[in-house]
Amino acid sequence: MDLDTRWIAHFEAAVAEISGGALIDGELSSVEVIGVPKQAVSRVMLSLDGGRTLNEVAARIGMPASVVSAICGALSEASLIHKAEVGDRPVPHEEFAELSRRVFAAWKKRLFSHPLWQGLVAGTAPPGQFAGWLMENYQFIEGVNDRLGSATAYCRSRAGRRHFARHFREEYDHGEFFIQGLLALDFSRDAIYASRPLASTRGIINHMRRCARQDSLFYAACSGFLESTGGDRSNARAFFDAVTENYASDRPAIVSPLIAHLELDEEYGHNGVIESVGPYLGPISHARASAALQAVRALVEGLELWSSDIVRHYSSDTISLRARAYGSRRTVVGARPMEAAR
Amino acid sequence: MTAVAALGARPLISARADIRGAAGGGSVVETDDHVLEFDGAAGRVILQLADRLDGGDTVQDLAAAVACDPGVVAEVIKTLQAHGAVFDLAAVEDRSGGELRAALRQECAFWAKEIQAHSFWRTLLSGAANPETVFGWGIEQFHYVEAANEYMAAAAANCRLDHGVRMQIGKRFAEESEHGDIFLGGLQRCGFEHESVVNAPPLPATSALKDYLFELACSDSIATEATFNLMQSSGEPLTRAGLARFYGELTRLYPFAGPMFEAFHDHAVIDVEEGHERTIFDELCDAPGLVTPAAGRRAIDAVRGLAEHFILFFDNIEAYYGARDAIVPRRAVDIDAFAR
Repeated sequence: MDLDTRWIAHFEAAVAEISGGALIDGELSSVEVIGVPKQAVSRVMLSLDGGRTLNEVAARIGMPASVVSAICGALSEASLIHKAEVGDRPVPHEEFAELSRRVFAAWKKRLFSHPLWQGLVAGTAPPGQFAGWLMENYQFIEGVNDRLGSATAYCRSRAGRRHFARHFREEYDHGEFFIQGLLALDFSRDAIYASRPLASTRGIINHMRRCARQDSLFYAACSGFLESTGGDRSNARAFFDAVTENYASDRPAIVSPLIAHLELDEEYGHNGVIESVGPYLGPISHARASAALQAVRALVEGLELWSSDIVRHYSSDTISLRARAYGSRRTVVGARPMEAAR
Repeated sequence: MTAVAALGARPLISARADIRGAAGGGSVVETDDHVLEFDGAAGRVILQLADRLDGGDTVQDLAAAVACDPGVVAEVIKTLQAHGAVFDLAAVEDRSGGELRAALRQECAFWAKEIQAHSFWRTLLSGAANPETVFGWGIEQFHYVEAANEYMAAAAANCRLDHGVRMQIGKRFAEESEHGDIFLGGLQRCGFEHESVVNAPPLPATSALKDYLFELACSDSIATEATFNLMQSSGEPLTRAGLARFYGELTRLYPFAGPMFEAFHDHAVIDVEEGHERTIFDELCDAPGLVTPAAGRRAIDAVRGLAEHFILFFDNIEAYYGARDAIVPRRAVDIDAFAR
């Protein structure tokens, strides 16, 4: 490799210790480095931040340049590092939209492989977890007033603001679909209104509010991740079919409002926000595009944390609402057995 | 507390309490400090109630739910409460002024203990934490302290209380605004580059904690000030000697992170020297008619929400840095990573 070039390590690469060396692991590929200890390989990866040449990296960590070059050659082959761009080049909107779609597909796959979603599809998640998932979904969807209201208010482009406002008009009362599902589970409307979201649910709502304040493109990108497109829709339908069979076979009214919600979103065309609003949000530079995808990555991590939080807090066979309940105790129960609710 | 008063109590069991059955139908409740043995009706009631003590139901409701004499439940709860295994959420609610101040202080002490009992601390203090967890904690802590420039600034910007209160809130922000540099300096002395720490994306729970405080600061000054009572509650009073012992022990366990712990120590000493025995919220409680029961209710909710966010913060550090071969500090996305 040219030792005067600058490289950047993949943001999701991890370094693990293996016998005689280290394993550098990315989402799609990995590289084994034999004869160099894990700590040294980690220092190489940390030093590949786009600001130093490979010669400078070698000097900084006290490793022969030939070894750094050999490691980086293998990493480059495996797409675990990439050459640093010079300057903040422009990124056309079409390129950003295409890139987003491609990246989102991989991130959605990762998110829906979480044990919560797998358990709901397989029917192995306890009934209380299904009810908790429904409840926290209600909180998140109801939070559209927090999220999309902010996105509209903070957008600096009139055309962009009108787009978000239209989306708001179409979405602001969609929490009702989830309320209908919860009512079918025999919760009262008052109890639903009085319930409190998990800290992680509040966290993802607040993350999107932060995006709305920082840059409308960040919000649009997060919104683009959340919407259903193409294959997602058939996956969503398959998911609802599975949870109906597993948790609501005798009372489809629990899940049917969620399916109606999905269909309404399709009817409204809420599946191309990046393509439709992006051009109104100003020129996109390499740095801005990276920051927008970082905002989505943070959302994905937030959704994974949320999924884990639901698993922990609603781990029992009973269903309950966090009306006035607090605390870190992992089993939050108190209402009644699922069987009794049927 | 009398048994009659306890009927309206809403007991929350501590996460530190381990409840298990014992021979002869009895039960045992064990915390860090006590082992309580119950037999007869009390022993059975505890096992029945174990998963219901989430602060959502009154003693009366609980007794009805398990078809038990409310007096027995009240006595059991009273005993657990006396030993710190249970906190009565109702005792704090619907109060105002000085009564609220005193009650909230007790509740903050309860939550501080809950947070300190997190398994993250046990692992850390046992010496078994991996270097990624040690430094990951330091970096997330940096993000949290640095966030004073968001939430404390927002508290100053959005305060609509009187001039004196605004000056106090402003003074606090002015004092804290550069404290992130102390943590950053410690991490730099451990070999981390300034930019790599500053640009490291926070874990989602760290962001959730920062955003929670920011949103609160934009919307409710009284509730925001109440959260400082939890942030400044340590369960037990902090002393210079105690801090030196604590961080000295961490340095002994993790010598590679010595400079970082030195920074943690220095920051904690500043807090001790500034003295936070009496908070701005305490003073607000003394202002006639200001902290009404309705405002007090919002303040309590804010404190409980913050406690949950702190617990999630440590959950996330433990799970992310403890279970992965993560590169520390974390890296932000660069779109060129996705080039075909």
